[in-house]
Amino acid sequence: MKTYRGVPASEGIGIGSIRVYGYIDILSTIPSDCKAKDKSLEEAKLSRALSKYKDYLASLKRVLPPTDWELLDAYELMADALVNEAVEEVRSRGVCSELAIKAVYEKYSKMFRESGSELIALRESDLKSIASSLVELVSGERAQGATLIPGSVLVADELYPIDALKLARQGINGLVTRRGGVTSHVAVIARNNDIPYLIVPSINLDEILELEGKQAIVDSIEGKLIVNPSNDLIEAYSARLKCYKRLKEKAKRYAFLRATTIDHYSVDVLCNVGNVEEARIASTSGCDGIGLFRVEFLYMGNKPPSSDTLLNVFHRLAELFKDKPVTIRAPDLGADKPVPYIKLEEQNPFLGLRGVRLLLEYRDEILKPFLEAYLSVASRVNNLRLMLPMVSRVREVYEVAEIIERIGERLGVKDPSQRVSLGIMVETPAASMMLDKLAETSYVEFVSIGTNDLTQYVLAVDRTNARLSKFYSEFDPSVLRTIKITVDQAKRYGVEVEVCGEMASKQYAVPILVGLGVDGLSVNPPVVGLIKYTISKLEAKELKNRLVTRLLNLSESEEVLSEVKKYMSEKEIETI
Amino acid sequence: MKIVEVKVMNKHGLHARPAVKFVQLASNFKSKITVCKGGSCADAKNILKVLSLGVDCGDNITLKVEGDDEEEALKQLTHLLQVVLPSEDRE
Repeated sequence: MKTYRGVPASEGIGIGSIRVYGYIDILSTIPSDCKAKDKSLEEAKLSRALSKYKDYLASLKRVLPPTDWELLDAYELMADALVNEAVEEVRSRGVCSELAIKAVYEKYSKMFRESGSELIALRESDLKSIASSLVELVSGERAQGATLIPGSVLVADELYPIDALKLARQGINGLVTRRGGVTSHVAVIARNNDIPYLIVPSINLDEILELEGKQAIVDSIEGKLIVNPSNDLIEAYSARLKCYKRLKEKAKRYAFLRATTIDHYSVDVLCNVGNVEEARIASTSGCDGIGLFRVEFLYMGNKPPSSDTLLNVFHRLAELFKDKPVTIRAPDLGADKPVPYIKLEEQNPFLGLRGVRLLLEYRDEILKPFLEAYLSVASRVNNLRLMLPMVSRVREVYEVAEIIERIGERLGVKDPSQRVSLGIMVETPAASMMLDKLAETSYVEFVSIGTNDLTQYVLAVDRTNARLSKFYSEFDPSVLRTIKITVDQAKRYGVEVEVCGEMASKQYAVPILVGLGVDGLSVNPPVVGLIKYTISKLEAKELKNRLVTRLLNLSESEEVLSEVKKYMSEKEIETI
Repeated sequence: MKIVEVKVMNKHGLHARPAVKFVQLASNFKSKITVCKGGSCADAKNILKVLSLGVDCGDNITLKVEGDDEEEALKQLTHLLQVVLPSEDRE
């Protein structure tokens, strides 16, 4: 038995036998004397494989941002050309379809390599990925499931999104990769398909390869991969998995209900999403709207998006949610989201030109085109809200309001800055401390607390520094006190308060945030039901008078967590 | 059949993105379209063959188009090579 620590990229528990993916080169396993028994059958197989491959590409397009579509188009063209020529190979040399694909791949990969041109962005590895996928699709027909046993725990060095999608459809119990990111395309695909996915940088694939077929547990709640576990442990985890599934089932029943505490205090449960496809999925999750739409994906190309692209996205969002609110955050660029067309050389990007500061600095290039598109859609629908990222000074709100006013006038919108439902993110201690002054501007209708950044700034802990991760906790009393100040000030001025950081998606944070008096929680779509279930088992008055007062007087985040856990178990609230 | 010689002006020649755009556009037409550089020719609708030609900036290529829509095809392909692709370099 061996345990690895990892980072959960898609929550859940998976138990199954280990399969290593993509480590053995599938092309090298094709026998060199593989002949076609029936040429027309081989041809038919090739064309079926091609159309399946194209289906995958089309599904990927729905998940990935438009900036990646060009590459997918290139893949489609390459797959077309590869299969066409493979058909010729089958006809003229009578080889089986796998060998035909391999022959074509080898011919061009050699040419690609020899051309020596550094300009070929479509590298040989892309061609190899396409050829391997096609071979798999062809052989899949020959021996169903030979390449993959459904219900396995899949381990890979790194996955192409297309492989992730393919595996998700074949049904795996868990996914582990050595490389990858929590916000990567693969993570999104895993979450959408309910597959526990853990990123384990310390894994040794040679070691794992020897354990192929043995059992493994992916605990993507606590962040553990256990290979070759004892029978007792498998039993314990099977029981946990059952509880987890039961609670998920229960949560589903709450997803489409209004979240109301026992003492009739209603809380909006909204969703955080990062592109239109995620928004579409969220619109079926039961959430009460979008609390945070991240537009950054539109800005990651070589230039800012065209106004048509922006208009199209805003229109689709407004339509998807009809009378439910959709909160669009102005692009939060800089810091950990650099863009190629703005060169920032900074010693300390997290304290640098980012969020609304960057927007105002580059107002002609980014802010004005964005607001123009936003206003022209928002003035014709009634459910869009606008949110400013990383506000740290009161004048930033005035400056943006003035720009809105001018653009609105030009577009013929009456009283633009009053008609726009404007909100700010509270991510800096400054915004929290100055919330009364921000509210007095009369422009701010709502605030949303971004706990990820707020925690890093309150604690002065870089959230991307792994060595500091033990110091980083949203449950730290200092963070809770900052949230309390924010909520109290907002309430005094009749400004709505939501929380949109990761904290809102954590079940143990719900009693705290509801007790502090927030009006809404914006969460990841898969946990909408769970968060609503939790809210419905709580009593707001009691939380405020008993639990929260006690928590605010503690010193350590661990103490806060253990108090909350105790409280929830006393109330017989099931937790994951 | 129409034949025309074009000088490739864009930075990346017919590699990567420009090659994809070229092949995508060529595939929209019914005509048979061949692109030649030096002594070798390739089916303009086949990305692998077009990439293997190794067309770089400054190369002269020959487009041969044969079919019902040959005129329109030639017009659009030369426009792509001479106007659209070079203008994208500047963005």
